[in-house]
Amino acid sequence: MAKPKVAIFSMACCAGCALQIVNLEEKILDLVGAIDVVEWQEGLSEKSGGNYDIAIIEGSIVTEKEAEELRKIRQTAKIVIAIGACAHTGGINCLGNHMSVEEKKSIVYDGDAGKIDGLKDAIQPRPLNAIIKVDAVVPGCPINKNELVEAVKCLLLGKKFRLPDYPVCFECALKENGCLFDLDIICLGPITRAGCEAACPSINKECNGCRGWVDDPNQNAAKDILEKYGLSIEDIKKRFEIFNAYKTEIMEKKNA
Amino acid sequence: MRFVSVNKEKFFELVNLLIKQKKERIVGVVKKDDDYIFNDLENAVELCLDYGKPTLLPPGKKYLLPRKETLLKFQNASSEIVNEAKPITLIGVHPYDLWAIKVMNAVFLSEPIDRNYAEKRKNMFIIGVDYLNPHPNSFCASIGTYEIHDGFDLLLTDIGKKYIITIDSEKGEKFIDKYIEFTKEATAIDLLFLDNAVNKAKEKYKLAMPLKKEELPKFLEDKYDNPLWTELAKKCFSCGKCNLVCPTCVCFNIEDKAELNLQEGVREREWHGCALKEFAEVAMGHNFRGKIEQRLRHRIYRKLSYTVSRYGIYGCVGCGRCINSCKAGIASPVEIIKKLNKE
Ligand code: SF4
Ligand code: SF4
Ligand code: SF4
Ligand code: SF4
Ligand code: SF4
Repeated sequence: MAKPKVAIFSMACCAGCALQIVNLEEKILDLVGAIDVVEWQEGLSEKSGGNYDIAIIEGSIVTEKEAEELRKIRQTAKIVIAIGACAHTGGINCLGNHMSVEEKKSIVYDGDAGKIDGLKDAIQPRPLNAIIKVDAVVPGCPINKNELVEAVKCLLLGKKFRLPDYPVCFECALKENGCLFDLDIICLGPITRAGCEAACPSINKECNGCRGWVDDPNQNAAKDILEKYGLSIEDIKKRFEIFNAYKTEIMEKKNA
Repeated sequence: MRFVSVNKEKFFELVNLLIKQKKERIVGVVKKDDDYIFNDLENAVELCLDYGKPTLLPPGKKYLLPRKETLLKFQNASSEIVNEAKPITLIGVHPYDLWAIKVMNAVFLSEPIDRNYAEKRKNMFIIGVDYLNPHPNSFCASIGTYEIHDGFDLLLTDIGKKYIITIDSEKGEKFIDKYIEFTKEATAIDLLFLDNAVNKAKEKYKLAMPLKKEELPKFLEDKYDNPLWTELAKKCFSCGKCNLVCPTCVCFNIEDKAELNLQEGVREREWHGCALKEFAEVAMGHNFRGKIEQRLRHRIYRKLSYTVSRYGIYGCVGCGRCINSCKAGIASPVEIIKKLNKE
């Protein structure tokens, strides 16, 4: 049997997720044994011309050109995996989405935006699934590399790759962390999807929701708690939006 | 029953000796930030035997039903059963957690016996310690789990400068005989102090179950459709912490995991919990308890009624860990019974 052809693409992001793939070290050798990486900005240079079994994509979509490229990848790839918060939720790229593209250009480039070629076709940043159908997501900023290996394994085996559908708190309790709320630190663990082994609370840092929300977050309950700990609705919204601004944007449109 | 006494310094010397011998894992209660956990000991000074707040995870569950355990290894068509159980000594298990181990025994040592659990239990030596500084969220006195007379090898009771040791097993006898120079036979006065300490502690509990525990299964019979469950569900995150931290929540999930070469793999079991949405989900995606209120209700019925009818033992030992850990403030069996009782 021919090895599955895998391509890795970077859209708008810090490329931190692809770096996690490089960090896979010995595991990547196994992975490489099982797959054939045909295109990779961080690793390979030659272009292979499509027909991928799996396309792994990091980053969000911030220009028309990227959107077009993404649609092309979709047409030629059997399976698309979105990796990282940028690709999954839009991530921090969507933080400014409450402003129009023009407003952002004028604030950031102080009137010089017209001179910059790459900005001509800028659009509001979007996660991949706002533009194409995504088959699997490996969330997080950056991704948990073991989860990526798991996802590729599942897809190779023809199994559905399932993310945990319970909050970070579960893993936090497994790690025997005391709860940050008891130290008056506001944590988004109760509504954020587990799978990172409670990376942040385990080093006494609050969760900011980089893995996106569980399927069915109890937002009212979350608001109750956050309010109880003295946060205003505006503060709460800001915290929710760090990694999930696109989702809030969509929900607000729906409710409007 | 045999009792001996040991000076505190002597006891710590003994623990250090055990650690040095490296014959088995020596695990005890230690401080972690504002909490306590059971952990491998490097030195007896780490031990906090007068702890009041129950450890974050219960010791029985942590070491008898590890969070992740390999049950089977397979390679191509052949498989091999895995049953790893290394000798381990636990130091500082409170009576409610000893009661919880009884609940686990009822579940795992009744037919069909769980071989992995049985092997681990056989290899475990338990040194308990009486719970003399109850935490405000514990309610052991009201359900009778504040004291215990069996289910341990040794039980320490702090009477000031020394511990009285109650011996309840052959292994315990042998242990005391082996280290006879550390202890003295207990005197009648020692035993008076022991009773006194336990009885005094019983009066210190701030929280109590409003009904006698024998009344609870009957009481719950007609509370199944009570609106309270939906009320509580509005606040629940389905985070499963109330299950994880509970010493008698012993549900697990079993999964086969293949390696990348697709030739070999393992069968693993991992902790699970009925408060999680995925818990009652079966093939094709049907979920028997898809609604939060169903899951919350199930936990309470499991603790206060189902285990009684199935195993003749109460599934709640009153430790209060679920109360300590629920950020929504809705997990307390005491509050739930109080509210149901007011209707
Ligand atoms: S998700 Fe985070 S680490 Fe990954 S590419 Fe985006 S910003 Fe970088
Ligand atoms: S620290 Fe955060 S993730 Fe951990 S239990 Fe508390 S709220 Fe949940
Ligand atoms: S704890 Fe929260 S912010 Fe930190 S890695 Fe996990 S999901 Fe992301
Ligand atoms: S009752 Fe509390 S601890 Fe239990 S799942 Fe709901 S929010 Fe989590
Ligand atoms: S239900 Fe709560 S109080 Fe009862 S044993 Fe479990 S964690 Fe302890």
